[in-house]
Amino acid sequence: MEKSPASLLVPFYFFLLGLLILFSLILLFQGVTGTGRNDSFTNMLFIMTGLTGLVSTFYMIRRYQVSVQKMLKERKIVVLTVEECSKCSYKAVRPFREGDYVYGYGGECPRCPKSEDTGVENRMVITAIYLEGGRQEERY
Amino acid sequence: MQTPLFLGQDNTDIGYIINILYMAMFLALVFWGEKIQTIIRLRDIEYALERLRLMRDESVKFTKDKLKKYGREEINRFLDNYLEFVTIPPVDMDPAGVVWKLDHIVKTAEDRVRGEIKQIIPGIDESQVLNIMNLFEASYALNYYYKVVRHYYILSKKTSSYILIIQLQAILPQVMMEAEAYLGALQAFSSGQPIGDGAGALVAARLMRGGEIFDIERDNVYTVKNIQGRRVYFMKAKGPGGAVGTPGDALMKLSEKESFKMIFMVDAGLKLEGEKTGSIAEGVGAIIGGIGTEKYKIEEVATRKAIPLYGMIIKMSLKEAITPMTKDVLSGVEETHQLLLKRIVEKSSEGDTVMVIGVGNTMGIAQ
Repeated sequence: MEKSPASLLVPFYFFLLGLLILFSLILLFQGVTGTGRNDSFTNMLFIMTGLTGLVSTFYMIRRYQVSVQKMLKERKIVVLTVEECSKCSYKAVRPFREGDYVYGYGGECPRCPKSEDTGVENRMVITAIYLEGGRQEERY
Repeated sequence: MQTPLFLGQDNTDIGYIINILYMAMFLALVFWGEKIQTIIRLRDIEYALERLRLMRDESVKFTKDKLKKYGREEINRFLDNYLEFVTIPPVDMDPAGVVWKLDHIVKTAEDRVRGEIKQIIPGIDESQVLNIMNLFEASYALNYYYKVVRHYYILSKKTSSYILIIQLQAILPQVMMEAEAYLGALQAFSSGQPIGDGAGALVAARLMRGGEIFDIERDNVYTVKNIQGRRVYFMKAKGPGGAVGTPGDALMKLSEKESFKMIFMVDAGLKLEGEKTGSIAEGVGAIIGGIGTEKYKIEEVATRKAIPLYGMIIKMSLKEAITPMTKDVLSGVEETHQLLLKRIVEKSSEGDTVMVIGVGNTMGIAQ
């Protein structure tokens, strides 16, 4: 699989963020120590700019982390299978198992008397398979 | 009291530097404003492109992992080739007969893929073949989205076309939404779970229960039942594999020996934003999606024999249509089932023959 032209963008983006952090720290340091100035207002501006730079950089890093986590997050969905007994109308809901399909056969009915015959006639019928939780999450 | 001065207002070195910076920024925005906008927009597109690439890779990896159980390495190579598979549509300069040509080409493509999967994995059952084909199609769609977006991204970068970039950025949310839906569909396709698109097929399956099942044409089944003195044919794609069948072909064949008084079609339909999932819309016409060949055949039969076409749509979003069926869709199925029986009795008279077609992908739904 070939790489997209965008794959170089991530290291560059982090390089820029690194520069911004460095620059913000220098401003903050100068503001706190008041290097070469006695003007407290300018020092305060340096401190504010440095802090704003640091906060916005960490916000950007956090935003990137969240978006990557969101992208790679395993989609955990629970699908349920509904089984119904055609003799006593007993209904059971259980998690979906590979091989289940609607109008296929499920397990034996726990309510009906056990029979020696293990044919499909004594097994419950799968009447529905659906996603637990009702609706699909829309991200947009 | 001394008035505090803002940066650039005092006559210090820093003030001069800030004034120069302001002027430089102003000039930069005047001369390179559009260029800066372009860079910002391209960055957004690059981010989306990267996400599409990750989705495509994840989908291919998932499919290959799922196919490991068959122990055939060739299937992985076949998947890689399939991602670049092309189906060339027929020439439409002379549109007469183009539907039949398209139908032929699509069936040939399907036969080829189906045949190759069976050849690589001998003894595999038909429903598994169809589920693998559905998995392949999801990877194919994601690869296609990625390649098309990448094409326009590189093209707009090469030409520095601002208009092209804006157009691409405008359609990206829709593209990403569809790509997300395909990615979400993989789990359902690999385990053979019923998907939202199977709502129409599920309505038909419920009505077919207890009847004798007959195969007809490619991947279709039907049964005939008596409903309050009406002879009703119920038809759907043959499950539980992920097939959509060829209801047009089947209807053409059945209409040779039966004269239908009316045709009812039930299908899943895309809702508009704000509409409720599982809500039902009734209407007239051939309610069926796809490339249009089956729709053409159904309309052809209905028009030639003057058979009214009635339909019901169970509404859902694209994501809900190709991912495991939700409870809302399932309640829509139940409601449509009852409504359909009511409409059959209302619209037809005793002794009439009626056709009901449950349209959609019948994955995880038998009959």
